[in-house]
Amino acid sequence: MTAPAGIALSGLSKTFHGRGKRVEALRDVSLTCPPGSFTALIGPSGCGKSTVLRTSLGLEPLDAGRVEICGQSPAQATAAGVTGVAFQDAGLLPWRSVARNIALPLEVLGREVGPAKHRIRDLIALVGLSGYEDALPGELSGGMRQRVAIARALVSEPRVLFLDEPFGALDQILRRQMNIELQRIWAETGVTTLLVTHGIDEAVFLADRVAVMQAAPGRIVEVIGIDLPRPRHAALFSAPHFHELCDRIAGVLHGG
Amino acid sequence: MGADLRRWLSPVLLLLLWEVVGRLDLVASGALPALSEILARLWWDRADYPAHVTATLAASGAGFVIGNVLAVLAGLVFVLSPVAERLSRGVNIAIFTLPPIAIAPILTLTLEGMTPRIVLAALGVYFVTMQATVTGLRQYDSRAADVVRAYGGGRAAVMRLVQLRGAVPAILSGFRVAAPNAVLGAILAEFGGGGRFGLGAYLLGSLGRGEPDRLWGIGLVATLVAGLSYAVFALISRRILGATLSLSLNPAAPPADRPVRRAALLGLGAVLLPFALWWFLLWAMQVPEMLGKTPWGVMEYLFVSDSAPVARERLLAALAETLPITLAGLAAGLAFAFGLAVAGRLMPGFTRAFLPVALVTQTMPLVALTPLLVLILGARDGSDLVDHHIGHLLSCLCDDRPGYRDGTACRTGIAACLRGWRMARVAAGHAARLCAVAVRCVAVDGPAGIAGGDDRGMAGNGAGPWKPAEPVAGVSGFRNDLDGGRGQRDGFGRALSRGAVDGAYRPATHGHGFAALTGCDGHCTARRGATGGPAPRPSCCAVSDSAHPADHDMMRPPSTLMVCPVI
Ligand SMILES: Nc1ncnc2c1ncn2[C@@H]1O[C@H](COP(=O)(O)OP(=O)(O)OP(=O)(O)O)[C@@H](O)[C@H]1O
Ligand SMILES: [Mg+2]
Repeated sequence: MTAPAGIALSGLSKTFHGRGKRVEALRDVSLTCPPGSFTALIGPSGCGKSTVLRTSLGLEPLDAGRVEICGQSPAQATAAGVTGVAFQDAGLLPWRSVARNIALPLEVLGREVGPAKHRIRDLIALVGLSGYEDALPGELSGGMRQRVAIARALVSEPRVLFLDEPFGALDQILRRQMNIELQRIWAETGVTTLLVTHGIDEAVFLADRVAVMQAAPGRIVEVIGIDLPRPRHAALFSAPHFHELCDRIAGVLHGG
Repeated sequence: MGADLRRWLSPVLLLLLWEVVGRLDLVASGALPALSEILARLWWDRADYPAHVTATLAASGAGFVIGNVLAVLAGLVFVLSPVAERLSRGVNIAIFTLPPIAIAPILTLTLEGMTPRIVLAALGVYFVTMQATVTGLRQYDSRAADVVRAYGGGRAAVMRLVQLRGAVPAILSGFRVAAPNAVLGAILAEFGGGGRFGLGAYLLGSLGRGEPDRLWGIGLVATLVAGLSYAVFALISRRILGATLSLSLNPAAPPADRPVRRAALLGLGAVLLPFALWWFLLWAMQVPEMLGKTPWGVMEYLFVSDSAPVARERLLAALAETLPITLAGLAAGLAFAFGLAVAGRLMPGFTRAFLPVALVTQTMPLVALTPLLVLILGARDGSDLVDHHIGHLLSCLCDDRPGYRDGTACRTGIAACLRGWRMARVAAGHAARLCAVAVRCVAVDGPAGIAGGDDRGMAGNGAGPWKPAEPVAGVSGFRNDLDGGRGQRDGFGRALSRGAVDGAYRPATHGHGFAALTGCDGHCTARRGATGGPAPRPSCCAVSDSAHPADHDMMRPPSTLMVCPVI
């Protein structure tokens, strides 16, 4: 636990062999996220962003390469409760209430749920779902489910956070709101964060560095540093330098 | 109000039609009594029922619990270990395709007291629930499993937190379908074994009296018991499902293909295991050689021994007789079920009206139905066909009905696909079942011909395993009388045997062919001569022998009575 809570990905390669097809999802992907940093991963659909996340967590075996989280292997890090994760799909258990869904990581990690009751309530309030504690996922909208998943990612007080398009199903206003909340949580806890997103503005607003990926084979083509001062406020979305950075990233994305 | 009226209109009309038809004795000269007559008779007999119903419920309840516990555990093992599943596939298919009516006599002869009933009920339950459990455990949401794994959860954690609870609806629907099976199995064993109480025993004891209203009454009560057991689990699953099913599912990826050599090895194991189990059970239960043939004994009987050519010829002849009927019934059942499905799509009202009928055919034990069908439908092929029809209605329509109705649009689509697939599976099941019957038949019917004695066991209602076949024969006599007025009398001997075969063995849905397998001897000709009727088919002879008064002699060596009891 004394090891710095960073992420070190080196030379990740992964090819999927599905029914006669070969998809080279990752080729030699290397990325280092220093402890307490915020990194955004951006790229066209199908370029391998989710695969980076899944292999980092040990959910998908790698053909080559090494993953270190806090100096540990993914299996050790996840089992120790170092990591928190919200996937692209909420992946909620339909028979569990919102509160019990959020408690799931604690149960898997073998921690007591009772003492975390307050924390869970606070998290539900944080994602704007107060009053829905006992609702079942089937009774929520897509965006509400995604917010449950975000709360679930935070419940174990992780030191490393993986987020896969966590705000994809939210409207623009709520999305901005959640961006600001996420920045606050990140600043307060110092959690090392790797955020996969499709929103260039979101990436620039939140991240220290933006890694841009290209598809076929999936690879990181450029890592762009974001030198905007913190804390960042909503007003930043209309600042000229902000747009400069966005344009630059868009250029890299379009193969410029 | 108007819609309510319309909903009730067709069932009421149907009942009215039944009443009129029954009152006027329009069907088979009174074989179909009016509903009011049946109910009156039921009331008249009301003191008889509690003991019988209790006995049946006790046996089927115990079998239901035992079979389901084993099935759920087996399902769990199969999901955790695909190798175990591959290996057990042969055994599972054998259990699925074994006609209960075929093993009922063996069980009643080798086990004592309530055990055969419980075993048969458990066997009827096992496959349905096992399959449902496996399906339920496999159809978990891969995204939820990812979440568990992303926090270091292993297979046990995924099983505990995601799969088990997720499988509950599937397992419950398995219970729902299995419950009537348990009742059916218990009744079947009662029908085939001794014992005083149980609806099957009651049915058996009442067969000889030629009172269609009582037979119908027993059939209705059996249907009610089976239907209630279905309803209980339908209710429970509806309660539990609630809102929890309305999320879409991201199915887990199918497992990767195995290396060819290993797959071949596993396949071989799967084929061999049922035979090993067969051997083991015979050995463990100390079944006498005469009664239970080992796999090698069957091989010997069919290919090695002096009488092998004759045996093979009989088998083929029997197949030739059974197969066309089976196929025709299969086709008719499928066509009917398809027609219903399409009609249901186009006219929801029609489905609503037909649902009660479909439910009855689902839950009415075929054993109870068969004597009635025989009574109602003169033509033997006809009643064979109807049996198949009902079997298919049961599998194709009813199973899916509830899920089909309360599902979302997406699930409706899935249900439609499932239905098509299930039909194919049922069809495959029938084909396999046919082969299984052949094998079992030969297994039991040795050169020693012990089977004939068994026939008496099936048909009689006495105390010991060797009993006269008189009651069943009585029914056929009765039927013959009914038919007589319409000029369909086809010789006493034939009718007698027809009744015996139909009544006792038809429920398995493949009637005569395999009865013929056991062949006939000289007695058959003698009887034909005596009655002067048209030459009975081989399938009839054997039973007509056993129905002959002379055969009531308990000491008679069974070798002259060669009716295979395992149809
Ligand atoms: N289990 C799998 N089997 C086969 N191919 C896969 C599998 N998972 C991902 N792929 C392939 O790998 C590639 C990268 O997929 P990935 O999910 O990482 O994309 P992504 O960048 O997250 O896309 P999106 O932005 O749409 O979420 C895709 O081409 C996909 O088809
Ligand atoms: Mg993705």
